[in-house]
Amino acid sequence: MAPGPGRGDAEAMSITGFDAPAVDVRGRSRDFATARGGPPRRALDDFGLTVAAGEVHGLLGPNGAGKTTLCKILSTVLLPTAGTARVHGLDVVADAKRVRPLLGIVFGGERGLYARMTAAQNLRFWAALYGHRRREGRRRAAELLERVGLGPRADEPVETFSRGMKQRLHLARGLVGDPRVLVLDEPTVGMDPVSAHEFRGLVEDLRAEGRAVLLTTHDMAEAEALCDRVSFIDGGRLLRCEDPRVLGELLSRHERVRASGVPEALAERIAALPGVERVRSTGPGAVLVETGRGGAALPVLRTLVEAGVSDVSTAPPTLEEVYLHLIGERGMAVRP
Amino acid sequence: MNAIAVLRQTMWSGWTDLRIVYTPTTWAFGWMVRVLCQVVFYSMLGTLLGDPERTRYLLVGAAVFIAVNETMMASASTTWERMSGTLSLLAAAPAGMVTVLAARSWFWVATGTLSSSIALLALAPVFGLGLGPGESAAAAALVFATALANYPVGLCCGSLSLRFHRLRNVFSNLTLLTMTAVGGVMVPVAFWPGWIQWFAAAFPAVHGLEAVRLAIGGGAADAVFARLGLAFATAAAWLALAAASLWWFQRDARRTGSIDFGD
Repeated sequence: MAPGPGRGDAEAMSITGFDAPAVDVRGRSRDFATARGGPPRRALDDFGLTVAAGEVHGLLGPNGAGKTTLCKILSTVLLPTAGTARVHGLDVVADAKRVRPLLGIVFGGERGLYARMTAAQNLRFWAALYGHRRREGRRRAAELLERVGLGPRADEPVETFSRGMKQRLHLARGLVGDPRVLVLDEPTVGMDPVSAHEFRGLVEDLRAEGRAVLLTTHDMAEAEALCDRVSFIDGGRLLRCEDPRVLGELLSRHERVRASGVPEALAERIAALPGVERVRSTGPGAVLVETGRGGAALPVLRTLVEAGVSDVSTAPPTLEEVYLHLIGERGMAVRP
Repeated sequence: MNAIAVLRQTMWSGWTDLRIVYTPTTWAFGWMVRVLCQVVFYSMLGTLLGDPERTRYLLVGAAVFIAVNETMMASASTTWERMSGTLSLLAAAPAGMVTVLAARSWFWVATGTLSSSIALLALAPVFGLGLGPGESAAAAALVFATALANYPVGLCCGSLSLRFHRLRNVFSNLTLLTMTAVGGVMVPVAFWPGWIQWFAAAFPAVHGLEAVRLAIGGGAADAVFARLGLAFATAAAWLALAAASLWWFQRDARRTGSIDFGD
């Protein structure tokens, strides 16, 4: 399926151009009023971001970081308070009507589908809203359902679908308007590993077609596997924009080792090993060893096993822990 | 944007919503039994007063207002988009949400016409109101017209329910109660002071009900059509108000952020 501009927008795109970044956000801020006339809460604060055509860009951040606010602004569902945001050169405020056909929105979870309608009916409905005539809508729905592997279930009600199938249908719905930019807001949340793996395969296909994908996620491994670049966001501010190889380095550098049945003397020996940043007690005889460089976990594991400790596990740091490391290294403060 | 395609798909979506509300069994043995009991109850008041004219008046008013009652449910079903999580997607779609929200609840016009007509035509002979085939057909057609004309009133309440979600059932209930009280259902509109009569005239259903009364009471065709014209004229005003209100809701939601992903 070759990507193309929305119908009627071809001329506009020749003016604004596909040469423009798929997404270009500059100085974007968004305040929300708070109850009882308190000071406004700033969900986005002087935020800037550029996503090229054909790029899968990850937005990483904890709940309330501002990821969804940014997606809502780009999707024209929410007006910003300050700054500019453009999609292929079109301003999301001034040119909202021309931006909408260029965008596809997919969010995770069970909602956003008409449960009593069949998968094909759902897609035909959205095809009509994206300007497809009846025959074209039918063709497009059938094509997309085949593409996401739901062709054999096209005429079954969505309420009978598993979560993974609903998520694939969400993606098909997001593609129904043949968008140049896809906004995926935590699309794999709650999906089992097999479904999530299949979903990521579909996203990779979209990149190969030259579509830009803005992906918000809490899943570091997903971001590392899919994204060309990732942006860390917290408190509405962009903390860091990285190549995922750097993210992978961070993940391996900050590997953690959990163990139980560790005597105090052994814990002290481990703390003295090279590359060990900290040994924290997490209970009687239980420790969490945090390492600060690649390969540092191996001598820790060897020391533990040689000392007869058998209850040992390793794990990458949580997103929050990587944030803390990032912020510490860059000297940036996380806003409350 | 292909408005006809949008309307067609929206109406299909509404049809699937209807299957959430009723199965044929629950409609026949739940809703229709309740409707018939309600109309019998009000008609019996006239019987107890020993006044056949009053009985017929109550019968027609109660039966026709079943259609009005059902079309006011458009207020609730307009908010179902938020419950299914599609509101944000509609807001971001090129066609926008106004056409979809305005058309999605059409099925209440169909079910309202059906249940109201059945109640009127089935109970008329029981309470001494003889209707010939021509009068019956005219009554059913005018009940449909009344339901259709009242639909924008339900939509208007629905747009307010979307905007003020915590008060979502208040708008439709208050409006329905007001129409029932002053709209010539139990007591003639002429019973009320002049300013209330003017107020009542703003509701399309009041004119629709009067058209039904005229048609089955031997009124002149001109008078029936005049009432019908008033019903559709006021309906057009309500439709414009509903569309403006839905548009206002979308614009305001974009500013305040009251539509979230998943809404």
